[in-house]
Amino acid sequence: MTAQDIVLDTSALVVYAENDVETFSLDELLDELRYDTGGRAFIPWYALEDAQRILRDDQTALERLQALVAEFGVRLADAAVQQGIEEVSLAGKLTAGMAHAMLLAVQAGCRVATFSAVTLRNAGFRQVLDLSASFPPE
Amino acid sequence: MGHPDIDLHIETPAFVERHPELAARLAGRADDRSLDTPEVTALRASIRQRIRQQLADFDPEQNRADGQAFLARYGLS
Repeated sequence: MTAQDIVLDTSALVVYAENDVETFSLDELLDELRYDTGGRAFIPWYALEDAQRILRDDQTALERLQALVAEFGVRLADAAVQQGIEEVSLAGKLTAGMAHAMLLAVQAGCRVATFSAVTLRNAGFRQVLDLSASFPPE
Repeated sequence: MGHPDIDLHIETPAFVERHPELAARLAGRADDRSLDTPEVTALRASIRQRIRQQLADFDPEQNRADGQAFLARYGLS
C-alpha cells in the first residue's frame, strides 16, 4: 500500500473527540496511516474551529482533540484559500470547516475522511473516504 | 447528534442497544481498546476491511479530475 494522505473534516474531528463506537472507523483509518501506509492526516484550521465550537465545554473531548492536533498538526489557510472557503461556503451553504476540508483535499491531491459523505457529495465533492459505520446485520 | 450542516448517519443507539457492554465505554469515555468482546472484535475487523478497501480503491488521476471539477463548479479553477 502506498502512502495516502487524508484530510479530516469537522465531522471526523467531532466523532474522534467524542470517542464512542462511531470512532472505531476513524481509529482504524488512523492506525492504517500510522502503522501501514505512512500517510498523513491533515487537520484544516477552520474544521478544527468548528469542531471546538460543536464540542463546547466537553473538556474530555476537547483534550482528545488537542492530542490529535498535537500528533498531526493543523493546516492554515492562506489568503487565496480563505477566499475560496468563503465562496464555497456561500454557494454550497456549508460551514467554513467543511469548505476548508474540501479545498485542502483538492490542494493536497487526497480525500476527505468524513462521517458526512452525503453533505460533501451534495456539494459536488466526490473525493470522499466514507467513515460512516456499517454495523453488521444480526 | 444535531450538528449543523453535518449529516451524521448514526446507527450507534441501535447497535449499543444490542450490545449493552458497550454502554460502559460510552458512559466512561475511556480510550479503552481492550473491550474485546466477540461482537466488538468482529465489528472492528469489518470496519478495518472496509477502510482498507477504500484505501485500495484510491485512483489519483480520478481524484485529481474530481478535484478540478469541484473547483470549476465553484468558479475557482
